[in-house]
Amino acid sequence: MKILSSILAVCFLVSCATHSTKKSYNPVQNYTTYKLSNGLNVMYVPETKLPYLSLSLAIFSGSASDPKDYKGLTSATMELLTKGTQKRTANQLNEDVEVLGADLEASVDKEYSSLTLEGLSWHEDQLLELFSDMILKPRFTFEELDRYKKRTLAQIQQILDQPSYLAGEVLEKNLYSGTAYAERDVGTLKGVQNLNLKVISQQYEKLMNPENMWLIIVGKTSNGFKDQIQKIFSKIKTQKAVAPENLNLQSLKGRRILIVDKPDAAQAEVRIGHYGVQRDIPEYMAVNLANSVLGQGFTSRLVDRVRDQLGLTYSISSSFEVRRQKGYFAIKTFTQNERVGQTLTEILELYTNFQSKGITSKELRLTQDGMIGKFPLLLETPEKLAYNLMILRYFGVSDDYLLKYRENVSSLKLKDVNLAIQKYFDPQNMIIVILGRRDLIEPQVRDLGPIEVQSYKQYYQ
Amino acid sequence: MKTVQFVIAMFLVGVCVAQDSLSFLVDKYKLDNGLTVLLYKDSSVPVVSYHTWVRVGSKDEEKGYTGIAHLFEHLMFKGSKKFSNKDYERILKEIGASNNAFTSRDYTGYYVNAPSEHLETVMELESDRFRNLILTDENLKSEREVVKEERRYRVENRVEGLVFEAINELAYTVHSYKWPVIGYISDLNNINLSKAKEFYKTYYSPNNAVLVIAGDFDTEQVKKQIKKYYGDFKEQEIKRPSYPEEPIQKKSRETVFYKDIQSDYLTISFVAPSQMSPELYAIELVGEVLGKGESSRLYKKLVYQQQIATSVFSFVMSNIHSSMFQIHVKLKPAKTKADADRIKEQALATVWSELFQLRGYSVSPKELLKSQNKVMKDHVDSLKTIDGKAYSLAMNEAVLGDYKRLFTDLEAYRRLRAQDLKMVAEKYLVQSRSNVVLARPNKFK
Repeated sequence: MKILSSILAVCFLVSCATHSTKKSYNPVQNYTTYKLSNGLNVMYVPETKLPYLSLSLAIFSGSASDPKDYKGLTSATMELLTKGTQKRTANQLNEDVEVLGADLEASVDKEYSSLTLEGLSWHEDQLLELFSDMILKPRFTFEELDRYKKRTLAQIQQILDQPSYLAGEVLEKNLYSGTAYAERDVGTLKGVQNLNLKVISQQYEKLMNPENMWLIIVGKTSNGFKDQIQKIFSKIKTQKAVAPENLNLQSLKGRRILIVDKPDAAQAEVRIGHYGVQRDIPEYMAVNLANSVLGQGFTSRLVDRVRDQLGLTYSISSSFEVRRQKGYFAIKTFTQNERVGQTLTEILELYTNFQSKGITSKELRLTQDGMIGKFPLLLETPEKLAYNLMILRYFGVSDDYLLKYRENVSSLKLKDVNLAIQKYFDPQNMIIVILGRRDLIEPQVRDLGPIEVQSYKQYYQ
Repeated sequence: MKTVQFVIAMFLVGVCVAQDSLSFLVDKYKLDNGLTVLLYKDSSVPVVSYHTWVRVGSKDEEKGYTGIAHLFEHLMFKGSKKFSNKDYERILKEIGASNNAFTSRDYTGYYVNAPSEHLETVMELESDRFRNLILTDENLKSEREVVKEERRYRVENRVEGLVFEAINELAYTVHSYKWPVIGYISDLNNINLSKAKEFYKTYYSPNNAVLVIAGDFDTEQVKKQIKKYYGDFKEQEIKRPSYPEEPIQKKSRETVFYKDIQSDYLTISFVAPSQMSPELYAIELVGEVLGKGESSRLYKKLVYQQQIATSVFSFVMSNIHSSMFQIHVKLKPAKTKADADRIKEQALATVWSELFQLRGYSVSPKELLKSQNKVMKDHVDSLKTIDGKAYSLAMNEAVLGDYKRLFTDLEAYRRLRAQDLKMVAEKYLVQSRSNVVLARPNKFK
């Protein structure tokens, strides 16, 4: 279970996830949570049919905690947990995991990291032994760190070959410039080059804080498994958690257009973004509903206009990336280099109209019904339930969010949704990133705001 | 085939999972008009998954009109006699459904996942567009532009897309698997309303489709509804084109193309047996041993030991007429052309050497066990959701001809011996049958 490997994108899932149209159906019940003697939180969601077992350590700290000179430190530390233990070399570890048919993954986000091992439940003992060996007895060696650094530096260069990914990275880097959210999770060239065994070991010690972690178990387990968990994981020592650095973001002023020139681009990637919301705002559900009308799914206003009516793109969507500190809102699409001007004009006009006039009562009802109807699908499996419950814990939100979801969605009023739209959607102050051919794009967007031109190679850093 | 295996399993530690815990009861029948229906009842969650698969894909297209199967899939969302496209999407959103479709070389699949209480609504929507689709010039024109943008996104603006396209163009000389499912832009421009209508009439017939409904429903009631919505849908003769048989390749082929990329992307591919062939099980496991995971042979050599690649993987792209065994290697960026040439030659030599080993020597018992366990795990993953189960049933019935393969394939993998893997490697993974595609940075022109 790759819990939260995409936590940001998932806040919508939570937002859509609570109600069955069958009133008696309540999937938010078949799970348990408890604390070990050292304070480590444990969540267990059982599976009765299929023979699998997923073990995941969720750490509420991520790349935003990387020191200035070591951007990429958390990613490296988590990845190196999978590259050898005190009794296994990297190759032995890989062999022992993969001979079980199991999947192993380390992932890092801005304020979240995880290590997940998932395999077949009849390998329960082996899975638990391997998982605990990686977490409790890692071995960080010069050889593996050197190998990781060389490979990661090459992969950073190869990001330039992924226009869709790169466009998103450019938007985030410019929105969060100078803050702990600015850099990619895997780090910068300089940050990765600077990594050494001492800082890796120190970061490991910092991350392993029971007060700041959850152990998530999903699947079939045997009797006695709970005792094993207590015996093994209560060994992690408690320590004082370090508060993340405050972002101190400056407000955006006006529309800033960044053309990222890629002369051979067969298509232009477009991102339109501004700061978003925090999870604890009272209008959170209203904002999500409003965004669904704007840019989620085939019936959204953006898809209807830009794709269905005009045929300008294959895909267009809007989303809120919600983080513990301020996340961001983004509209994402791609189109021909020759049609960027038309596409942007249409989007901005639509977005401005959306923000000033709000949604209609018909759209409100349709979206409310849809959100309620989706509930059983979004909590269909034990993994999906665990995933949603963990997101709530990550943001410090009560399970009532899920338990009372239907009545809360149903009770949303048009006036309140439209007030939230006016407050949190901002078509006047934004960063527009266009990754494509400058020679074709620049003449088309001159009237839309001040333009700054950069080379895509500038982001190889 | 990976999506389909299952049932008993007792791999590594001899634990046996009872057959009935991994297989499930399916009610299969045919309407008089030839529509095959599979019903799988599971009331654990109040949802249904509704899959309609049609036995038509890009292999059925004619030259000059490539991409019509996929473009037609798009047109299926543009409105029918009873429901305009806006009504269709609005109703699905209102009931909390999610829906989409996909096209391959051999089949086209449509699905809706919805709260179970709205099953009849879904059936009414889906049956109407299969019987009474409205095709207009305006819709064709607009959707053609959408598909062109999809092509630029999936193929032309990413090296992986270009490489996949180049592999099939190189490995097939006469068979229609040669062209891409999404089609070529010039061919998309050729498709007119009359061609689209002809395509609909030729292939969208009940006797060429499989309907799978999985989830929470009342079986008798659903059967009545199926009769009501599909019963008087007339069957017709399906006239398929002839598929030229691809001659056995006698000599290795190579192609190189240049793009503004940072590093070489190297692939080595071989035409492999049909998805229907018993040999496919063995060659899939060869793919696992060679390039799946960090303990695979090629990963250990190219990424871990030699450190000349950032990623490597191998797999079999399975199709009805013939499959494709592919090895993909993303090499490390090089500063000079000479360096790039050296790295590429080293990688190729390593791949040839590993293929030589697979042809000459049996894989170890541990490697065999690992690949079988991985197949098992992938299978468990594929069955976690109601949609996953419906998809797997549809794949087996529509493509392989019998949904029961979902419950028997795993045993076929389990029975394989190291010798079987060696035999298929000897037969198919030989240098004279190889197709090497290299994407290079422009600076090395």
